[in-house]
This record gives sequence, structure tokens and C-alpha cells, in this order.
Amino acid sequence: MSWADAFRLAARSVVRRPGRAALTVVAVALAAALFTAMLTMAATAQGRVLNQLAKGGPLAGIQVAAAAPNPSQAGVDNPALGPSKPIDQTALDRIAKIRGVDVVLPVVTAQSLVAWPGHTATGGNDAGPSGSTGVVFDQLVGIDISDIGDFPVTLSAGRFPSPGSTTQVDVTPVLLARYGITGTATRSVVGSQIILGAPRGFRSSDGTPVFRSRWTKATIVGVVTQQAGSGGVLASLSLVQADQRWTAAGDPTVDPDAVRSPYAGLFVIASGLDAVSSVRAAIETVGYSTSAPENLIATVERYVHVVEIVLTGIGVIALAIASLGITNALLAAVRERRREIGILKAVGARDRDVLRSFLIEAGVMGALGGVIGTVLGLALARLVAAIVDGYLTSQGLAGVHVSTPYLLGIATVVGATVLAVGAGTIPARRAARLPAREAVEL
Amino acid sequence: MTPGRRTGLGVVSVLVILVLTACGSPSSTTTTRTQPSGPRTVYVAVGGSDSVGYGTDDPLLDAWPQQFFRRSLPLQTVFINAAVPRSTVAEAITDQAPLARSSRATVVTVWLVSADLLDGTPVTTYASQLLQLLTSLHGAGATTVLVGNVPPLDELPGYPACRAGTVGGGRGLRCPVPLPAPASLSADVAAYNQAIAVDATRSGSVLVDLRTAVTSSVAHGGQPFLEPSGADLSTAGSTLVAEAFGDRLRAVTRHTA
Amino acid sequence: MGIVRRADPVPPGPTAGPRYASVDDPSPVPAAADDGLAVVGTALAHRYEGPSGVVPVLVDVTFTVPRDGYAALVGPSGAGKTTLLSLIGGLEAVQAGTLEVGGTDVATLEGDDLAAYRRSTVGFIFQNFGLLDALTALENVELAAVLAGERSAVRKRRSAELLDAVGMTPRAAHRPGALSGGERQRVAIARALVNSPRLILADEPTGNLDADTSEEVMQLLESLRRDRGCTLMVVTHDRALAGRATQQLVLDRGRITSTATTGAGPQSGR
Repeated sequence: MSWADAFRLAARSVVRRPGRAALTVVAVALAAALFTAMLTMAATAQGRVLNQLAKGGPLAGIQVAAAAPNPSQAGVDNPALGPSKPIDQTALDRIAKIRGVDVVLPVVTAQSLVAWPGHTATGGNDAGPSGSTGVVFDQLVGIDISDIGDFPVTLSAGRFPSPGSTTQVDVTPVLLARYGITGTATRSVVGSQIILGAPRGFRSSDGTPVFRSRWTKATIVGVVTQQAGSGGVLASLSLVQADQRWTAAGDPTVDPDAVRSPYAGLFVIASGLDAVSSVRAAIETVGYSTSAPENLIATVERYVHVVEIVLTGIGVIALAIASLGITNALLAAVRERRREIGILKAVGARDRDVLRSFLIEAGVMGALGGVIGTVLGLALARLVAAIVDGYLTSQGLAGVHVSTPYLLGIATVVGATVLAVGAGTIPARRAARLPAREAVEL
Repeated sequence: MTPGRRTGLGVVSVLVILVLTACGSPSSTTTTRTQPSGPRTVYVAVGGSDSVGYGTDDPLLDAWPQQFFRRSLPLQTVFINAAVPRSTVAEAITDQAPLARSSRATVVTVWLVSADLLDGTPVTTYASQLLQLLTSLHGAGATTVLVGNVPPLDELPGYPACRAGTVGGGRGLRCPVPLPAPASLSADVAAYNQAIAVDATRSGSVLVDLRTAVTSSVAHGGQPFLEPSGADLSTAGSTLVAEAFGDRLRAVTRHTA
Repeated sequence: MGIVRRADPVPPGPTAGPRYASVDDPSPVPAAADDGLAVVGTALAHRYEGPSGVVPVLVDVTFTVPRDGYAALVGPSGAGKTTLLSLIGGLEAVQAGTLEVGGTDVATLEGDDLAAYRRSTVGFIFQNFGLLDALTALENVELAAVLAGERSAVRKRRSAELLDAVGMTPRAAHRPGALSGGERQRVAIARALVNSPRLILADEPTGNLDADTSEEVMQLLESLRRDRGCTLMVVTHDRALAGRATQQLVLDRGRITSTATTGAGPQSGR
């Protein structure tokens, strides 16, 4: 008997007893749903945790500081910095050529006066120069906004500035807190206008030092959840580089502390988590300090892996229990169908034909239960994720996203089928050994 | 190939494809990017203490060029305040004009009246220096140069302080000793305004008649133009000056649009 | 694991053992390729182990059914008729004695060979029809051919022809539950013939049928046997039915008490 014919015969037997088959399939489906839902939620939780660790950026992201490495901090995720060391284009090019480096994203900073008409900075320490209460000193952080997805920044309100824009910025909760704006009130600042002033030192003809600022207007288009390095304002490279050039061109005897390094730092994305360690070592050899949550990510991944193992174990136990139901159902079927099996033998079925037919029955129930359970499990995982996402975003935190784990779905269906076939082995062998005389009522 | 073996191969192929697409991530070439930029309006303020914001509640925010920048110029404007406290026109030529030129200013405001008047700079000298200043600003490519004239003597920043003898040491106000009589200074004010008007016309600049604006404000009981000591503009005074410059710029822009 | 379908080998032909015109005629006649098979049992014995001990069912049973023969196994209930038929059909293992079908010692068959014997050499018709409720009439007929690995188109055509031959074409798509007793037996007959067996064994084929239907079924069976050239052995407790056969083997308490051929009446058995 061919496999196709055995399949048809098995399918007919299953359909002939729909109630028992349905109960068995439901048991497998529930177990598969539990298995799928738990692992999907575990993967989602893992992604959310790692995303939080990487602050929304890629897991293989490395921050390079304009400072030399601190020898006593080797191997530390966030080491203390060594002496200041500017990053110029040559250094950037060297780092870009390191094996294992995918992308190098420059970060430019500029000191800035931030003026917010109509708002008063709170606290004496926050007062700006000349006793101005509406102006504070802060730092602009400039990145290529078109690469924003690669940076560890996440939005809590509004949007990111348009790439290349010189009139749009995002602000951070730390800056807003200096004006007494905290919590959900931070969302209300989107759309308001701030004035940014890059200071520059001059010396008058009579030798008097003078500071003049290059002022620009900008609209706040979003609020990011993280402090952008040491800066409270996130903007495009264009805006910040123009301010930086203005400040750096000042008289060094008037403003010796002005930032003159073209790049305040770099954000390097390695080709994968495996490459982070070697890339960090290579960058440190070039002479710059690096930080990356690689140890933390590795630790978290280990713990999450343990959780996944436990959940997988629970899911497998559930599937195994469901498989026992298949064994029980098929053993009962073998008892009830003794005569039918005898007839099959009497008309010429080999032992293995009978075996095959029963194994296929078991496999069909397992596969069907696996498919239904996978779909149910994914739907359940999405429902739970939607609830969690709603809660997180209402708290001003980044939400969760559930992917569609195709491989997990396939593995569940295959696993349920294999377990079911395994569970059907004993009943199938028992059926195969039944003598043909069962067909004859003696 | 038997049906069973075909099916098995098909399943394996699908699995392999899924694993490859799940594991693979697009690699990008190592790259760094910067973008060009350039504002449409570059505004440079040339002036003295009033332009720096002395006397206002919050100089950085309330100085009249800052207010003019915020209220009267487009979003994509860069503003540089080149003003130096107590600057004369002669000092501005060397200290401030080069910055306007190097910044490629497209709009320049010039209000340099108090220091020269109180220093006793002769009107002819003032006129010649002012013309030189305005011409150099135009020569650098500035499309619009607005120049303010002298407000009435009683509202001239510094004069009431000098007259009252309330000048503090910190603000650098230089009072003439002896202080000329009001009638004499008023005549100087009128002569200066005449010279400013002529120089504005000759250089193609736009005159901002602060004298009339201030006189009208005082006549209508507006807020004090000067801060209590009389040495500098008040916040309200800075606002009035900013509005006067703003109104004039809008008028010129409408006319040329 | 082979997944290559192939048709069963040609069932064992009459290569050994002579053909007899009747049990009394010792003159061998050359066999034809499409003749039925001779069945020769010698000193067959069979017993069951019951709760109260060993129960002998067959004792020293010796008989010969010639090629193309039509034999009836007749006797009271419990005489051992069905057991003897089951031994011949390969449904029971031979415990003692020899049993040759078409010259093949059935006792030596096991595993796939035994399955092939049941599938292709023998066509078994059960008293309670022996149809699978999950399959339609046509599919039940096809079943033996499916087990033989026949190609789908070929077996479907042959099954349809057989169903037509037994007059069941209009009910081909019905399941056994929707058929009458007579209709089910017709389907069972068609199934028994689908692999062109050389030996048909029918266990009380009319046991569950009324008189009219029984007559129809027997006529059908006999005509098919004639048309196809098979040996037919029928178990029955009905003497009248047994009289239709050309040979009657009378069993009583596990022994053949007499054998008879057509018109000869019952004789002492050996």
C-alpha cells in the first residue's frame, strides 16, 4: 500500500470518528498553543529587554568617546575615560576600516545657549549667563538623522527631526526638567520654539574679551527618552556642525575650553554581537575609549535563555501529555477496531501496512493539532503583547513588538507531529500484530 | 524521486530558506555622512550697549536685536550680535563690521548713537564714519541695512543717567565732563539725525525713525523707554526699538516684493 | 524503507500437484493457466486454548478439492467448518498436518508471503460481510487492490467493473451502513474477486440473508466462479445450499465424517 493510499485510509478513519479525533486534536492544539505562546512571549520579552539595554539602538552598537582608553578599565561595559583625545577624520577613517565594523556614525556636539521665551529655568544652578533665567547652558548633539534607527535613542513624544534640517530639534527630559517640565507634561512642548546660541570668543581691538553667539531658531518636534550623551538637545549634523564651526573659530585665548574636536564621539555598529569584543579591542588600539553593554547583554541573554529552556520544557511537557492522549485514543481505537484490522489482514494487508496506517492517523492528529495550536498560540501572544504595549506606552515607555516567528511555528507543528507519531507507535504495533482471524467471529 | 522523498526535500528547502532569511541582515558599507547647510537669512546687529541688552530684565532674551530676530525674521535665520557695549561708529568699523562681512550678512541693523553723542564726536566726523560703515556693509553683499536714528534727548540712553549723576562703574558709561547743556545736546541730536538720514540715503540703507517712534510712545503714555537709572534701554524700550525696526523691514520687504 | 509500489507477484500457479476431474478420478488432467487451485489437506489438526483447557477443533482432517472444484463444508455449529476455512485462507496458522493450495504448503507461508497469499491467491467472503464502514462500496472493493499496490486508475476501473458485475454500480458511492445485507454481500464478493484470486472461500455467505437474497447471492457466486475459473469452497450449515456444490465435505466435531460429489450423495469420510 502506497503512502498516499495509507494516508487516505487513515484520514477516513479519523473522519469516521470525528468526536474522538476532535478531542484528541484539541488536546494537542492546546498544548501547541501553550508552547507557541510562551516561547513567542519569551522572545518578545527578550527583544524588549535587549532593546532597553541597547536603548533602542542596535545590539552590536559601540560608543566611541573622544578620549583615550583607561588601562584599568579593560573589559568593562562602561569604562571610566582616559585623557581627552580629539577624534578627527583620520581617526574616523582608521576605525571605519577595522574588520568587523559595519557602520561608523559620527556624533558632533556643540556648546549652546538654549533660550526658551516664555519659560523660566528653575533653580539658581540652572540660570544662564548674565543672570538670564530663560537661558541655560547645554549641549547640542548632532547625528545623521537618516541613520537614527541605528542610534540608541527612542522617542517618547513627537518625531525625530527631518534629516538635514536646521530648524528642527528634539529635546530630552533632562533639559525640560530644568524648566520644571516633567512627566507626561513633556509631551506638551512639541511644537514650541526655542532659540539656540553657539558662543564664540572674540577679542576687541582694545584687548577686551567678548563673547558673541550665533543664534538660530528651532522648533521642538519631539522628545527623546534618553539623554543624548551629555546633551539635552538632539539635532541634525548640519545644525550642530555649523554651530561647532562657529565656536571653534573663536579666539583660543578667550575661550580655551571650546570644543575643537571635529567629532565628539562615534557610534560604531559591529557586524554582529560576536564581533563587538574584537571591534572594541581594535578601536582601543587605535587609541580611543569605547563602551558597549556587551557583558550586560550576554548576561541577560544567558538568563533569558534559561527562561526559554524552562518555558520550552513546560511546553514540551504539555505536548507530551497531549501525546499520551493520542496513545490512549489509539489504543482504544485498536481495541474497537480489532475486527476491522482483522479484515485488513484477511484481505492481504501486511503488518507494516497496518502499522503505517495507524502511525499516519497519529501524525495527522498531531499535525492538525500543531497547526491549530500554533495559530492560537500566536494570536494569544499578540493579544498579551498588545495589552503590555498599551500599558508601557501609557507610562511613557517604549512599547513591545511581536514578530511572527515562522521557524517556531514550523518547529511546533513538526514537533507535535513527531511526538504524536511517537505516541502512536505502541498502538500501531499492537494493531499490526493482530491476527487476521480477528476478522472472523469464531 | 518518490513522492515521499520529494515532500521531505521540499520541507527541508523551506526550512533552509527561512533560516537564512531570519538570520541574515543586510550589511551596509562602512560610511560616514555629513550634509551641506546654509541659512537663507543672516542677520548681524551692529550696535552698542542698547544692542547688547544692558538695562533689560534678561539681556540675552530681551536685547532689542534678539527680539527683532525672533519676531521679524524667518525661521531659517542665523543671528549674530556683533554689538559691543558703548561702541562708537569708529570702533564698530574695526570691531564689528568685519564680523558682518565674514558672516556674509544679508540683513544688518545699525544703531550707534549714544556713545558718539556723549563722547562729543563732531557731526561731520560721525557722518563720514557712519557712511563709511554703511557702505562697507553694503559692499560685503548685505541686501538690507537698517539704521536707527537718535531718540529725543530725554530718552537718549545714558543721557538721563549722566545728567542725574547716577552712572555706575560696571556698565562703562562715559559721561562728558562737563555735561553739555540740554539745548546744545538737543541741537547735536538734530544734527546727528540729519546726518543719519543723509547717509542712509547715500548708502542705500533704510532709515528707522526711532525719534518719531519714541516721541509717539511717550506722548501716548507708553512704558518708560529707559530703565530707571537712565543709563540704558528698559525692556519695554528694547521692545519698542525692535518693533520699529521690524515694522520698517516689513515695509521695505513689501515694497520690494 | 522502500516506497516503491509494485504489484504483487503472480500468485502461485498450478505448477505442482495434478488436477483431478473429481475426487474419485485419479487421472491427472493438464492444468490451464486460469484454472482454480486444488486444495489438499492431510491429517490436519487444530485446537484452541480456552479458559477451561485445550479444545480440539479439527482432528485428522484429510480432504482434496480439485482444481476448479466447488466444495461445500457442511455440518452443525461448532463442527470446525470455519476453522478449516480459516486455515485454508491463511487466517489461522496450521498447527498440525499439511495443507497444500495449488501445490504450495500454506504452513510454510509467513509475513509478507502469507499476506500476499491472502491478498492475491485467496478471495475470502465473510459471513458478516467484512466491509470497512469508513469506505464506500467502490473503495471497499478497491481495498485489496490498494493493498496489492495497484495503480489507482487500473484498480478503480477493475473495481468499477466488478461492482457492475455484481449489480452494485448505482450504490458505488454508498457506505456499508447505507446498504442492505444482500448489497453488502455483493460488494464483499466483488472485493474478494478484485485481485483475480484462484481460490474463493466463502464463510456462510448467506448466513445473514433471507431466502430470496441468499439464492441471488449464491447464483452470483457460482456464475462468477464459472466465468473466472476459480475453485470455490463454501461453508454452510444449510444442507440444501451444500447440495448446490459438486462436492460436500461433512464435518462433525472436528472430523470429516463423509465426502460426496454431485449426485453421489454423502459417503464415508476419511
